[in-house]
Amino acid sequence: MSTIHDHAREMIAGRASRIAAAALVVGAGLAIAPPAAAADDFYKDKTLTVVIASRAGGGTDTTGRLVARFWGDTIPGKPKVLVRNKTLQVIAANDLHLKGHPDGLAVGVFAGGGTLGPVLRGSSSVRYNLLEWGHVGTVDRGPSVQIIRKSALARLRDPKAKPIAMGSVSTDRTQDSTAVFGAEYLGWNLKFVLGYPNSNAIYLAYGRGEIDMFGSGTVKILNRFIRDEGAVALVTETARPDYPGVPVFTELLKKKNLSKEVWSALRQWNGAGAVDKFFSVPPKTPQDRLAILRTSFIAATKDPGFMKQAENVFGGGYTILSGEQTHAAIAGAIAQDPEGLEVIKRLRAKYKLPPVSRGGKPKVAVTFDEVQRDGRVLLFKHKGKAMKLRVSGSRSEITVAGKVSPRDALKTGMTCLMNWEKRGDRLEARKVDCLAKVKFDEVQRDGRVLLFTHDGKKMKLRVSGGRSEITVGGAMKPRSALKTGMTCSLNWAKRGDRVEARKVICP
Amino acid sequence: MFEALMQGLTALAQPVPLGWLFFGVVLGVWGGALPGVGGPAQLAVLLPFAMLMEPVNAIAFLIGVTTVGNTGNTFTSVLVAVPGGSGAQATVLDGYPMARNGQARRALSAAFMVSMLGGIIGALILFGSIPVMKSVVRSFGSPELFMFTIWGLSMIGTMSAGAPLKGLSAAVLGVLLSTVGQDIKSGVIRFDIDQPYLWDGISVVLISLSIFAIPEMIALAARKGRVAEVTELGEKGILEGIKDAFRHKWLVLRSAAIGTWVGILPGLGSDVADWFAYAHAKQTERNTENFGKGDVRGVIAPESSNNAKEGGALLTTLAFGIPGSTSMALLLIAFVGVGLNPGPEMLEGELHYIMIIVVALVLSQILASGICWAMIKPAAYVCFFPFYILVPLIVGLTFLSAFSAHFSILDIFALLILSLFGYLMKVTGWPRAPIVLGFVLGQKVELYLWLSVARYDMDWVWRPGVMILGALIAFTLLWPVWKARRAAPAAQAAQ
Repeated sequence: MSTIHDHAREMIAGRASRIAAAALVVGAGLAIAPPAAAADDFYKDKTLTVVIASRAGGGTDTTGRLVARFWGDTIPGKPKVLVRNKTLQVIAANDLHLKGHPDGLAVGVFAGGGTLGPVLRGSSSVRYNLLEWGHVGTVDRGPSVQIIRKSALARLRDPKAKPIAMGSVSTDRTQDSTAVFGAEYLGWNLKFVLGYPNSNAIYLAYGRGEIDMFGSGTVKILNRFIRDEGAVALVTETARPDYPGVPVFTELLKKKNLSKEVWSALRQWNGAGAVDKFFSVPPKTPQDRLAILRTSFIAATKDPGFMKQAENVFGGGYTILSGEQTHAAIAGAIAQDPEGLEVIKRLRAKYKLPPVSRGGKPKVAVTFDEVQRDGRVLLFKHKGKAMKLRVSGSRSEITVAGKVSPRDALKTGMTCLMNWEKRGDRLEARKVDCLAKVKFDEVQRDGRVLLFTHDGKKMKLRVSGGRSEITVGGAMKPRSALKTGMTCSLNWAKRGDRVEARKVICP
Repeated sequence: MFEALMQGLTALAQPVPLGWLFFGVVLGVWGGALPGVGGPAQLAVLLPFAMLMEPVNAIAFLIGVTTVGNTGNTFTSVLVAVPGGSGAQATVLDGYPMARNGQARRALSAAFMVSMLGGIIGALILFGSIPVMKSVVRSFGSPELFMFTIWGLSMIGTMSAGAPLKGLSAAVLGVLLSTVGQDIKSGVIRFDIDQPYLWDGISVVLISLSIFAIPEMIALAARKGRVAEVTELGEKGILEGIKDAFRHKWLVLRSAAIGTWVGILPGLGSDVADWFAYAHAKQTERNTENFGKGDVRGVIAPESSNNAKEGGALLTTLAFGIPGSTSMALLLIAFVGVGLNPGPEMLEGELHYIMIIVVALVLSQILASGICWAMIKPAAYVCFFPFYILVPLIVGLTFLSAFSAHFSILDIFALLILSLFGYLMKVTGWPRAPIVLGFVLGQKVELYLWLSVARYDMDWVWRPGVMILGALIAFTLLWPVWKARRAAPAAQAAQ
């Protein structure tokens, strides 16, 4: 995986003769480092900041600090490694995406549940795009195990008994989907207690008797509670050799003859578990520095000291994913077709859990190559694939520039945000939200106010720093990137007595 | 247990561990004295070095660094009204007025004496609670923690300097400010006014600096004077301070008990120990009309409690191996890193390590107070610095401390905006302590109420702990009223 070294060697060979001549002129003993070796020397005398997107002491923090201890020695130049905590996952992810300097000197450590989960849920707080990040690698502690207080087992399948309190932070982790699907399809008698600020608070709540059940992937914690706190392992997410004899949750579900929508819903919900604790750098970090970080990350996790401590904390079942594998896993989780989305929405509503917005708002931006038969057929490219979609007069919801419109308002060349579903043997558009293409007559106050003409009417739009989503050249940007004279596609919505831009896409 | 104690003492009483302990204390005091430097930030930097040490040396060093910050941060709280840390906010209320009255040495001396005593009491409670550690921690669930936060809010009246309505309004504003940012359970971002900076909420550091430090510096610059409004500091101030500590020994004891309990309850934090103790002192002591104007008891109470808290915080960390605060979490990581196993395993098989922690805690408190006493005389002369030297220096330090909130230039803008508000409160006579207390308790009030209802519906109201605390709150609210009514006829008769 030493691509950076191969790259360096190629560049050095090409410039050696010019450098040799210069070296002779300057004098013996003066080594002029060829630019190619700069990548290797970049980290010398520098500090790599590892920003852990959680409070100190939890699983993400423990993992990040463990890697950080061994990382500095494996990076060429042996930089200092400084660890910082940033309390909330989504906030830290937003910061990395919008404000992170793409210089390779800061790496964020995130949890799949806390960072990928809100993306899959369509949370309005998400301002980041995980597919644009440079992913360094992942420490996967292994499938989560659901543990329950022994004395509460008798009540697990007794709907007349007092429900068992299941504690969690939010509902984005695989242990949460296990609990919800267990309640719905295995008859578990559960009550969900959400809002604990972090894993430690959950463990303390169990210790205090406030909750009787929780899930975790940290073996040290699980074993302690099983050994000392009267807990038993109820199910594992998938088979774990260190928990033999413990039922595998998916095997229990298979006995229930569930529909494919339910399985799709479980896969979708568990998408957040595709990566456990992953390390990433901001978008547009130079590839050579990303490559250094990737290589050194793997090397750090192969250090005997790391492996010994990791086994002590995580157990023997942990795995390391490379940066490329991390990216592929995240992309796979995000790209899932939301077949089971209705199931997820129903379950969340039934158990009073935070709702899902995904599917409710259009997500994919496409430009119509051709619109046929008065808007009944749309042809466009999506992820390099040619797509042909039907538009129903009754089932498809169409808006153009924020106004509900008939399908014949759809025209070739329009840029729209849409989603679709399979209907029989065809793909049919569900929501089509077409943006208006406008040219900004004036952009005021650093992108906060847009003035333009649309449909012959003069418009004045506000742009929110938090709610408006702005893309320029395919990358998410702050509103200050909007300039007078730009031609962009956008939609808007009324907010109080003002009109506010929702999505702005500029070339 | 006695055997483990002797084993622990023997292990610690060696030149190398004692040397590390001393070094840790020096760093801890220094970090505490400089706003924004100490606390979890300092510990995080030192962690990698500590993890290379032998276990006994690591314990000695880390306990020295972690548990003395609240001793060191008294300097800035008393001398220049800059809360040196989250546990030193209440000290400003009476410590700074004492400095202005030329009693800086007395205030500092009393503070360091009770810090030492409070810390030792906390350590002793930790030692005495080892057999019952888990039962103690388990007694308090979310409903009880909610009641504790309400108890804290009920003390606002005592801090409102005769303007209870203003105090209540300030506290409500503090609670509202605490709701800014992302709500953990739903992921909704609240009251961000379109500013991504506010997604992470407002930092407590910014609140305390803007409410106390900057307004006092503005006032100092406006009167173009010095901190001390007298020309003498009083040669006997240090001795007087020591006597004060023993004169009010029962207040020291009660405040230390409050601090230890707050430390035991994970999630309440260092921010509130000093406030609880201060309010308790104001409610229960006699002749409290000088509280807020330079009453030494207003320094003794918070300083005793914020050091006693350390013993309590260690209790939860050691009993469960689960930290109740960020500092404890970092400490735990370090302990695990050097091969220790805080939690039941340590209680059963490695009790001598716990004894090392207890003894190190006691020694740290004594050492820290000793170091700080030695610095009282030179430090107190800060009170005579002219404003044109002191104000820029302190404002610069304050900016540095504010920047540590999010490491963003916007921290400085937030400080300036909030400071304007704090100054307006000062000049218009609005009590400022309630807004800080409301802020630090606000998030906890919401969290524990939510968890209580989610877990128990409304049945949590009938829990024994809740009812006992409810009675305590009622007593807290009614006692001053009853006391005043009882004193009224006597006052009338005297007239």
